[in-house]
Amino acid sequence: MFQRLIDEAPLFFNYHNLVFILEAMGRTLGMTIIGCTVGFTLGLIIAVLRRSESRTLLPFRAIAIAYVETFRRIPFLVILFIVLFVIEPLMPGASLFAIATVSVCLLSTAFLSEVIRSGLESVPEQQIEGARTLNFNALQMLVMVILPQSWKVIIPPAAAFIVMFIKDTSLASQLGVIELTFAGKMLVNRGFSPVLGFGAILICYFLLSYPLSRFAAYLEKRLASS
Amino acid sequence: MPHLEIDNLSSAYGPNEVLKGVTLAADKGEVVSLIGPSGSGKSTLLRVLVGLTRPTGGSVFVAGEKIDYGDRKSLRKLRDKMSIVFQQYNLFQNMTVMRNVSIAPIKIKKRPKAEAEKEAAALLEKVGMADKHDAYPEELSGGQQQRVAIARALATHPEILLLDEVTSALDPERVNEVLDTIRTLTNEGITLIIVSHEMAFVREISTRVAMMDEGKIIEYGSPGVIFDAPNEARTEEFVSKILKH
Repeated sequence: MFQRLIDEAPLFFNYHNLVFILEAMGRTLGMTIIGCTVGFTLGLIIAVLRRSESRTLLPFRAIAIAYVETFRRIPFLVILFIVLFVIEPLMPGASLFAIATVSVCLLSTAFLSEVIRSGLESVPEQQIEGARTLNFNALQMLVMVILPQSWKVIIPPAAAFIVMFIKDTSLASQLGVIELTFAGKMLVNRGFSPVLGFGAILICYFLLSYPLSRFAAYLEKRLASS
Repeated sequence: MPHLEIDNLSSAYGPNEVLKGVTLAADKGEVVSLIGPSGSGKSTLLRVLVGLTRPTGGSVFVAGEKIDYGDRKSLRKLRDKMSIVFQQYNLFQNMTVMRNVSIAPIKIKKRPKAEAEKEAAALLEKVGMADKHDAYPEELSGGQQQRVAIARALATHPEILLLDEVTSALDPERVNEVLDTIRTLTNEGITLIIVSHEMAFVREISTRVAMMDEGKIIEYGSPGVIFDAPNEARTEEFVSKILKH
C-alpha cells in the first residue's frame, strides 16, 4: 500500500489537482464565512427582538421565535433540500453554491441567535436598570452596556458552533456543490487512492478550523481579563 | 408648592400589593428619610418614583408637573431631573470609573467630552476617588464603588436624588466614608430621598422622616418628633427596637 502511495503522490500533487482542491476549499470557506457573517448579523437582530417588550414588535417576535425553534430542529441536509426545491422553481438559474449558502445562512442564524441571546441574558438586570435610570435608550444600552459585557459569554459557544459548521458544510456535497468533501470524492473517483484523496481533504478541514479555534481561545482569554 | 409630591401612590408585584396609597411631599432641598421594617415598601417606593416599577394607582408631581409613567417622553424628562443610587451600586462593569461618571453627560446629555470629563474629575475628587479614574469597578471595594455611583448620579445634575439603602451592602468600616459623602450633598439644593437603616445618620441629616409600615406612611414629621416623641405606637416600637442595637 505504501508503495502505491509513493508511486501516486507525484501524480496526485499536480497543478490541476491543487487548484481543484483550493477552489473547493474556497467554497467551503466561502459558505462558512458568509453563513457566519449573515448568521451573526441576523442572529443579533433576532436575539434583540426576542428581548424586546414592545407591543408593536410582537408579531415579529412571534415569527422570530417560530423560525428559531423550527430551524434548530431540522437536520441541515433537510434544510438544503427544502431550499433547493423552493428556490429552483422561483429562480431557475440559481447556482447550487448559492442555494447551499442560503441554507447555511438559515441554519447559522437560528443557532447563533440562541448563542447571542444567552449571552445578552447573562448581563445582570442591575446593569440595565442603572442604564435606564440614566436615560439610555434601547440602542445605547445594547451597544454601550449589554454587548460589551456579553462577548465573553457569546464567543466560546459561537466559536465551537462555527468549527462544527465548517464540517457541516460538507453536506452541501449531497446537492452537488463542489466543496471539500465532494472534491475528495471526485478525486477518488478519478482513480486516486482514497488515502491520498481524503487525506488531502482532511488536512484542508484541519487548516480551516484549527486557526479559528486558536483565535477564539485568544479572544476568550483577552475578554476574560478585561 | 412642594418639589416632590406623591399622592396616594400604590404598586403591586402581581397580586402582592407593596404600596398601598403612599402620600408624601418634600420641599426643594429637603432631606427626607424613609424608615421602617424590611418589606414595608421603602425601596419599592423609590423604584416606582424613578420609573423602574410601574405604579398601579395614584400620582407623582415634580415641581407641580404630573409624571406619566406609561409615557416614554415623560419618563425621560423625569429622569433628567431625578437620579437614583442603588444598594448594589450598579456601576457599568465594562467601563472605567471615569467613563462610568462621564458617559451619561457625554452620550445622553450631549455635553462636550472635555467639559464633562473635567466635571467628572471634580465630582470624583469630591467623593474622594480622584486617584482611581482608570480603575474598573471590580477592582474597587464596595464603599469605593458606592462613592463612584454617587458621583455618577450627580454628574447628570439631578434636582432630586434617591438613595436606596446605599450603605446596606457595605462592610461596617466602609459605611462612614459613604455617609460622609452624602453629608456633603445636603446643602446643595438637591432634594434627597433616603432609605436607610443608619438611624443616627438619619436623625442627624434629615429635615423630615417618614415611617413606613406595610406599604403605607404611618407617620411623617421632624426627626425630633419621630425619634423622641412619635404619635404612633408602631413608630415608637420600631424606633426603640432599632436604637437599642
